[in-house]
Amino acid sequence: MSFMQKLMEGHEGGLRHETMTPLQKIAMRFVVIGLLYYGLASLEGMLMRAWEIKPLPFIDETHFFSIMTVHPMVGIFGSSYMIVFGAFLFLVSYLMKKPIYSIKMANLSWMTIAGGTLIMWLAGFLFSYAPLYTLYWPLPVDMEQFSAIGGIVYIVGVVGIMIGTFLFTYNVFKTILYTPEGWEKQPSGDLLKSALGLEGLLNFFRREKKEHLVPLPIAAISRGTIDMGLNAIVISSAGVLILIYMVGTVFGAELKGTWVDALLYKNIFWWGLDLIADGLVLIFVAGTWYLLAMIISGKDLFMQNIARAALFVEMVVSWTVWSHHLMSDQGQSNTLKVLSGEVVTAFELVTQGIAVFITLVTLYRARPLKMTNELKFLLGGILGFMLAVPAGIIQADLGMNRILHNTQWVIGTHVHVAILVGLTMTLYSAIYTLFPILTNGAKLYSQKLADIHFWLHLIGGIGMGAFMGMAGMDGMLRRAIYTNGEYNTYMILAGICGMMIMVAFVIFLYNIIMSIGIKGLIGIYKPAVIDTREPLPAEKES
Amino acid sequence: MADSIDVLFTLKVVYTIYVIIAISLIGWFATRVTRAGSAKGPKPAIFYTYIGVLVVLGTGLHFLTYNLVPWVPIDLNRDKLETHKMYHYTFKDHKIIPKEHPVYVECGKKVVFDVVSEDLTYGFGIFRQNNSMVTQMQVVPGSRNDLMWEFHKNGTYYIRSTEYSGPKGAQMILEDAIVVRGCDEDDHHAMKEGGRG
Amino acid sequence: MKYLAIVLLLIAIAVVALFVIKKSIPLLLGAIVTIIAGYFLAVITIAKEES
Repeated sequence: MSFMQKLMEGHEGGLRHETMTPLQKIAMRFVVIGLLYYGLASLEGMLMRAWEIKPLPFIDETHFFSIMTVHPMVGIFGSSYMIVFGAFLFLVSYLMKKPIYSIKMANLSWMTIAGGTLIMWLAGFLFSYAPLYTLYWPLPVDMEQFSAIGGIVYIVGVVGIMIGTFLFTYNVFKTILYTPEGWEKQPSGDLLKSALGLEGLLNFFRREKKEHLVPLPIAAISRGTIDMGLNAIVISSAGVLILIYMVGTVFGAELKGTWVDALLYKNIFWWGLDLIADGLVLIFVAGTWYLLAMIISGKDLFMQNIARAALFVEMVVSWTVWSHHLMSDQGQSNTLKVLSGEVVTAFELVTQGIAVFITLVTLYRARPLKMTNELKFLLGGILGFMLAVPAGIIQADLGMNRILHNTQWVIGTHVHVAILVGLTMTLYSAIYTLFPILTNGAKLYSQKLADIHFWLHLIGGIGMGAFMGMAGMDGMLRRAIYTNGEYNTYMILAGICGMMIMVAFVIFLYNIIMSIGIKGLIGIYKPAVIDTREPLPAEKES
Repeated sequence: MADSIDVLFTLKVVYTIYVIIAISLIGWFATRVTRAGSAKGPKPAIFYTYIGVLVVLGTGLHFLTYNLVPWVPIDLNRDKLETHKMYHYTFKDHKIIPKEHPVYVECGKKVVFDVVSEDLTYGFGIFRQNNSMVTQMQVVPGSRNDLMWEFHKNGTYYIRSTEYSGPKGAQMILEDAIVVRGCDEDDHHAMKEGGRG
Repeated sequence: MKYLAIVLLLIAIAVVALFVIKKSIPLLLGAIVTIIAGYFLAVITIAKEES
């Protein structure tokens, strides 16, 4: 077979998309777009890495910051949300052994999130809207620096993303709770109580424990989805606020920025964002680790009840930690800084520590295991959080925050190691695990390429975080420009590591495309031949 | 008395050691998990000891910094401490506007930097000549932004905004803004020409 | 659907809160509790839906 034939047809027959159920196709649609947006985030990340070494002639300062504005939005919503939504919509149906509630809603979800991300990105690309994703008030409505049209386009994009998010949350809960046609009536109230952890909480006080009605990964998906919905409410309200001011500006109304207290805005914004960063991410990651550990080991999870309880604790903790973002805000009360910022935040070391322990013990008890792609990426993901969570705990200390806040330590050692090594490697593990299930047995083109992907990503991700962190400890700020080469050594090394991450992704993408073929890739987006709301084709289920 | 350089040096050492341990642990795990062995899990005592260690580390860090990092008790006990002198700054239109420039700070005295923003959210960071950070705070419009500090080494420091205020504010710097004098020791990374103040 | 109606209401409450709360910590905490409780209520309506 020639290279072109292989590229078109895929490896050993490639992806036979006509065998896929609508839900398998939907999951793959989400994942493919999520990976493409990851590529965009990676490319723009490299542009910024290059700029930090030496400003690029074709990107001016304003555009540098508009890239920085869209970069986390593309990475979080365009990529991570998309991959997670695709996997979870499939898994909820698969693990609950129930048809998905609505195929239409699931399709609408990926379209609105993908479309919303593109529109939001265009606000940066075309209109240089650059208030950064934190949108610190009143910067997003600073008409001296940004255009109203740029702001409106940005918010329209964000609204699209939020609509897709709410559709996902509804579809997930509905699937868990509804009674499919012809089924015995489902105990929706009890299922919800079990999914959210209320039954578990009551069990703590009961002598005769009630059994859990939903599997552990569903509990994780449910609790993380609660945080997702709460965050979507906060982001939507920030979007509405900005839209009011932008539209007001267009119509000549005089709306004062001082009508909204900037410190209050920060409090509400960070409360909301921590529901993603500290809630959803940690809960979904823990749940994914548990599922992957059970699949890889073929065994039950070690200390399942404690794992379940920790997922509930993490959800509640995530509602209370936001002040660790406000430790250098002198107007923030010391009580909130200490209790919310330091004490409760420290609990995340415990909840994530529990997840690491339980996952590793589950795997260890099942040895010998084969070092598959799923297993090595899972271990990489665990390592990522082992490095990034303590870095976060360190900066969430009044003493350390005073000298680390807004430095490269925060965005390097903590955020990017958490996202790129912790989260992304966990997602890669899930992709490698689900790949044969979603594709009805498509074969991976090259194990060698998968190995190169693993090592380049792991070393590049940890290395980039490390060099950024070292620069931060030497005083390099985030979101700032240095034109005298003050931190060039670190930035060059971080740039090399960033390039490794990008090359790793290109290799992975090539490997996947060669596995499923271009025809298979296009086929994912064609209507399904099989008409069912079940996750798998009928012959696979029997 | 410890300054940011001392604290960050400790962090570099401790965190690097921790990273090496974490990578080694996962590396060891990866090699062991592919070999046959006992299927027994750890005893509950090991699990609960591990949780105890995490709780101690997570909360202990804060007790440690309260007792060893001088600016933490100053921050938390601000209301009870007397200000020797106050220095005022206004941030507006991406400019740092000092009431006096430079300010001369006496060694070992508790001084307060009081900063007002008239428009956007900024940051107030004090930096040495080698660009390392002494301290910083956020500068939020409509809010109190004052930081009490005690210098224990002579030096000349610049102020830089540490928060993004739009592309126009990416390099908001006020050179030679703070001169500390009267200390027995010089801050070697904050010296301009001449020696002790 | 009721879920969407409650979500939209909570967004409206949050927008109003941004204008109204100013420096009050009790009001801030109250807003947070309201949004959390309100959202749980929204999710419970999903469980109560007939189909």
